Amino acid sequence: MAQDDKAQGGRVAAGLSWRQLIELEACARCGECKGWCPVYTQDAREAICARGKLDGLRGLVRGSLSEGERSVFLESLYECSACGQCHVVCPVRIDTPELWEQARLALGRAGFPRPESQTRALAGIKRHNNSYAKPQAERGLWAERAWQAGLLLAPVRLWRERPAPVLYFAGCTGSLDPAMQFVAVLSARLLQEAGVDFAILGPDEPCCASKLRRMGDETFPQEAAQRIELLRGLGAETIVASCAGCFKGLHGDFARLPGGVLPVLHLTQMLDRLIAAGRLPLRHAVPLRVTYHDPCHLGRHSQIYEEPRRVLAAVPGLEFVELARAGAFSSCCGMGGGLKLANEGLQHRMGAHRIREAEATGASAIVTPCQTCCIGLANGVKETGSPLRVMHLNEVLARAVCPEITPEKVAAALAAGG
Amino acid sequence: MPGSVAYTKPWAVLWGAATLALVYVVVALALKVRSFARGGALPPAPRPAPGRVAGIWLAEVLLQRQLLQLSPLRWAAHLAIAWGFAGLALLSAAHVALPALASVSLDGGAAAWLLRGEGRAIGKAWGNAWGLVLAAGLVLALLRRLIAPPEKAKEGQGTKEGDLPLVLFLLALTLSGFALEGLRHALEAATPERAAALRPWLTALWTAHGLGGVGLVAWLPRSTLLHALLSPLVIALNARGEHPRRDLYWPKTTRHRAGG
Repeated sequence: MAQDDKAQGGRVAAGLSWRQLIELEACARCGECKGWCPVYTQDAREAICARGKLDGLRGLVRGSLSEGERSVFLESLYECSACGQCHVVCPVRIDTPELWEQARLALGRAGFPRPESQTRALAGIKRHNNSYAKPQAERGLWAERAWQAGLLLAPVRLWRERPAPVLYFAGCTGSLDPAMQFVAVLSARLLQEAGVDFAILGPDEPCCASKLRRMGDETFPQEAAQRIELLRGLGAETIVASCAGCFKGLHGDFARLPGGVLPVLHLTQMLDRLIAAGRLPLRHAVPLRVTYHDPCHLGRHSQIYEEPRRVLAAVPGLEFVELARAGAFSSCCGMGGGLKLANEGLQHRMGAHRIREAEATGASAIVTPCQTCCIGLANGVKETGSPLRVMHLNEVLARAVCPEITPEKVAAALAAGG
Repeated sequence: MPGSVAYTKPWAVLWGAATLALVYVVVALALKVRSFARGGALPPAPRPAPGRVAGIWLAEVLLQRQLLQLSPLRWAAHLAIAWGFAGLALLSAAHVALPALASVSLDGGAAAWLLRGEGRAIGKAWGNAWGLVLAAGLVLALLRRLIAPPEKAKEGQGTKEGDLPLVLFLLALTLSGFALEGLRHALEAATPERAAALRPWLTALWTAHGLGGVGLVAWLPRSTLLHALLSPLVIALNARGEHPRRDLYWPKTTRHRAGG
């Protein structure tokens, strides 16, 4: 049995990089990560914080974990949103998000089980090429229906019909989640308002596959290679993603694979540039006091902090107030890394915690440019019964640019079209 | 004449223990390196900027900037312990290396100068100064835990078990070094009768201090003290890939300090 454990530990070790194996031993066990960890804040178990997970992984690699310790470690590894807060505060600078994702991959390869809900989700993504188990043919419907409903200035053209300098990558959630399709519609409208020549892939748009990496699926490199080949083959000057998760996948994860450096911008970067160039007229005042929630995938993972704040600062009439924990220290809403699939209740508590932090600013709305965070924060609002409004950054901008288009109108129009 | 004060030093015991400890440490570290080699290649990283990586290493390892951001008291304690250790380790290394080099005439006379000549006083001053720095750091660490524990320690989130005994052990080791120096000075000025009474104490203290130091070295690969060797390495390795990140290496931590 002990030999089996050692052999299994050896297989896990082989799935990590040698630098990560050094990181396991370099942890000073100081516990700084605990004070900041948004998961530990809601569920104070040693195993769940970075120090506990490093302990568990170290034991697993050595083959010295008992049966009970091993199951505690496995549970806690997947009950982590890989938000990266522990990375920012670690005095040793251990690259924890990368470690958790790689550990999940290594454990999968070594035959350890992952939560059933994540296994199902991963199989679904690979089977349907999206996270919503919907036919690919539906991917571009939002654009067609929005045009038919008069929500756009012009039809959004498909790349296969006529390529453009800019490819707008709407992502699974923007394309297929009825509650979040307004993000794609408003993205398209704002790009049109600024006169950007763009096209979408529509039914040809693949899932970015970043969730496979987040949850440690071993087919990620092959799946990503296919996407890289497809996107490179398009020859777009710029790929714009409105989803923070897709952006991290296309911009961060792909860049670590052969040929994976793509000309990707997040929508907020594009809008920031358009506003600075005077191409996006913000004509209407938006008299709101808002605060800003940094999505982990956009902030800590991609270091995009200033652009969304500059966009908000450009909105006339908007009063901005910063959260106590912002930027690199933003508390995670709990939606990332497959945490919601592994422990939904925990995500709700994390969302609620973030909402309470936002309430403390005195703002009437919390704004974020990530639709996944919108969902996570909305769960927090439900959990707390807070009057705080959760707004996508596109919604705030639309109020300043084209106030006749609201998320509610978009949802109604798309639902009527379906 | 400096160094003329004589008392029995069981060198054979100390060298025997030190040899065993060093062999153990070398084997343990070699096994660790072998276990690290089981891992795969590093993912591609941005082109390293040597100047920037060196700057990060200097700030994060030698000046421990991240700890300063997290807690000035913790920073002061940790920096004093780290620098105190480094200063004393350098002196110990010189005491081992110089005679070895002298035996093959490669020391340029430094062994005689530092161990028996005019440099001996400088060596003593160096040892006392870094010993004081180390002791100050350990006292600060102790006070922080016993009198004014940080919020997270009060909430049971503090440094893991085994930390307080380690601090106490290190403090005892440091103080025994000062006691040894004090007794040695007392011996120099003592009458023959008084000296005869002091010598067994000096021998006992010297042996305890020496074996304590050897024990600490032997404990290194099995304890959290290993971070003293591996953390600077990890910081350098990660800085190679992450040197463009200003949010990681120059964060405004104090502005966003977590409530708990």
